[in-house]
Amino acid sequence: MDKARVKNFIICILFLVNAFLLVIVLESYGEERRAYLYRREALEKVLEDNGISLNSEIKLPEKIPPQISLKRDMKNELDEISALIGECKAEDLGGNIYFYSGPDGEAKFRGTGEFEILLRAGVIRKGKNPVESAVAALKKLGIEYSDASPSIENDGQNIIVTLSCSLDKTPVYNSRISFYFNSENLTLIIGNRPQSKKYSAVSSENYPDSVTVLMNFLENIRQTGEVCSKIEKLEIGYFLNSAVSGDCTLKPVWCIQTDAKPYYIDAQTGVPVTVKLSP
Amino acid sequence: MKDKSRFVDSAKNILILFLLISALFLFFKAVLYEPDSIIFSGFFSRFSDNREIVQPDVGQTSETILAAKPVYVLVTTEDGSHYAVKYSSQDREKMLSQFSSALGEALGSSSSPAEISLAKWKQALGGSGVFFDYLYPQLISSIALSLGTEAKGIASSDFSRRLFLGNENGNLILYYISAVSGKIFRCETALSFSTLASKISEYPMGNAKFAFELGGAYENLDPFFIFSGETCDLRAAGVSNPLHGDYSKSALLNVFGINIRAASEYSEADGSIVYVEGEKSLRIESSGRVLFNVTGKSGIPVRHSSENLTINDCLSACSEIVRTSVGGICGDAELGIADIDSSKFPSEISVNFRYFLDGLPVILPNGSYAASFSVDSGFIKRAEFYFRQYSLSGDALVALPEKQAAAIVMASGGEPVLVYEDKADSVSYSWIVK
Repeated sequence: MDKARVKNFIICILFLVNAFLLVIVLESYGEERRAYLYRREALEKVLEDNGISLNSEIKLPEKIPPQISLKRDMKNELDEISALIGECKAEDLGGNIYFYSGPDGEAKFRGTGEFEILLRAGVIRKGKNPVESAVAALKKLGIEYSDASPSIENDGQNIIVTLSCSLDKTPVYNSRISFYFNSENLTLIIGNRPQSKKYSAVSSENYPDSVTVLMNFLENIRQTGEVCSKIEKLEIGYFLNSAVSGDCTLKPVWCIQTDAKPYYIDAQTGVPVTVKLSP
Repeated sequence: MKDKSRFVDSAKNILILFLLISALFLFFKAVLYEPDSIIFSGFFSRFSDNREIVQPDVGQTSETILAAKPVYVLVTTEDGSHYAVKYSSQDREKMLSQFSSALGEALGSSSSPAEISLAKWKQALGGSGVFFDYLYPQLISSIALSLGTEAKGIASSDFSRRLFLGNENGNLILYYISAVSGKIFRCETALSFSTLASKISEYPMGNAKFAFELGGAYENLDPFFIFSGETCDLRAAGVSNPLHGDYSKSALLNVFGINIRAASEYSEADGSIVYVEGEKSLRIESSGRVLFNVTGKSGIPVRHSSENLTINDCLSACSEIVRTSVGGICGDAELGIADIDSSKFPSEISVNFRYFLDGLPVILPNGSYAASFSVDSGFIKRAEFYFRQYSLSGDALVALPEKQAAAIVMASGGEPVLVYEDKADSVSYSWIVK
């Protein structure tokens, strides 16, 4: 009987503790939410005072991905290219440039992550939707692509589909791959990609927050005299910085998509950067 | 009845367990886990992908040799006009970030060099491409190493100051002038010129000219002196002696394997302090000059990368010492190799480093180098340093325009070079004749 009472007492105490902690947690979430809304309101006001509106659907990103360093993995590279052009041999051309030749095509990969692949007819067909065929080729190459809408051009001879790369679902703005289709087949793949082997990640904990970044953006707009009236999208991606040695660094950058053009701001320094999109 | 009480008892146990887990979870969320808490952030970061493993910055390659950077860069666009950058460090950095990888790949994949005539070299310079001028001859293989690759086919033991990446039937060709023989060479590479063409097309039509393109008026000048057409705007700079600050002398002694506790120390009349340990001595002068000397046979051994000692092994060892001594406290300046005498290698080699401020060389008082090394049979026997700390300010200095400097030099001939001049207590600029 005593044992049952003790258990009842413990249950009561635990209920009270849980209720107390739940209130604290909810209060803390509420505070965070209020602070977020306050920041956003203040930001909207500052932007409005400068004639720029913020798309109401934009959620200010809170978490900045870490800065990542990657290395070239030759075995992985051989396996990936073999999956596309068949079992192939690698030839070292010097300068960290490797030439691969297989039954279904040939490829040249550089230490900087730039590459070009020539495919024989029929390896990958254009099909009804060339974007799907391009994605199929990327999957064979083991390259992650971002969900940004692909660009499709027609130069009179070829249909050119360009996809952006990503890493761990974070877009890499200056890493893009173009697929050239003739009337029937995919003939050429050309682009640059992040290397495949991760070897370090540097914390982004103390990087400036979204408000600081947007204030820097505003300052930049003022200084350059450029004009925009609306911020359509705000996201964090990576900027790829490659070296001939086969090492590369992915640095987090903020992408502020305005109605005029996209602006990129270094997430670490808060300084605007120019991102060259190639090819 | 007994079964019912057992069931109730078990249910209570389960409920207690659940409430305990829930309380722990909520406690963790409410009290322990503060995203900004210094105490716990380290712990939690172990479980997140935000963790810090090492801190490399790969964009600038993990170089071992402090090879100088090109001081002048010139881009020749498709229409044959030259766009050159000589004095704007920001523009030069931008150009180097665009073209350095192509130079590295070209050096790494180049075939054996074939000699060409001066006329062919001049003809190549007239076509689309990128011209790099290091101002001081560099070991070709060390340029390649500093760019993250390895020169194999090219005469890697040759030295060059001027290199050009040009176009020949769509292939990227590497040209260079040998600083040893004065001959001009051409090497094929594994690259197609299209890798460079798209970057070159971003440049506007330039008005730069090589001296040889301007005909007889400048015939006494170095024919490959570049009239960049830029205004010679420099950033004002200040200088101080970092050894007067709180620089750790024991750290400096450690670089040379001298233990401050084991070494005997004495002062000289001119204020210099001398440390002696066995055959090694280090003399630190109040002016910032530091002299390391070994009297016996041993010295600081140079690590071999292969069975036989290479020039790059020596450059790498000297660079490492420079990095941990003068290079660590030079402020806004950078250091680069400016002069190598390898005529008696492998028995002897001397390596000299200069300060570069905002991309331009710094001339020190009495023609000193920032660091000088004598390597004897694989041991560094003598090293001399001139410790300086430079700081760039926002003020601008306007130097004499290029054409006027060239006009002054024309009579005597040579090449006018704009430099920062360290006058011991201040920094100014001047044109010198090279």
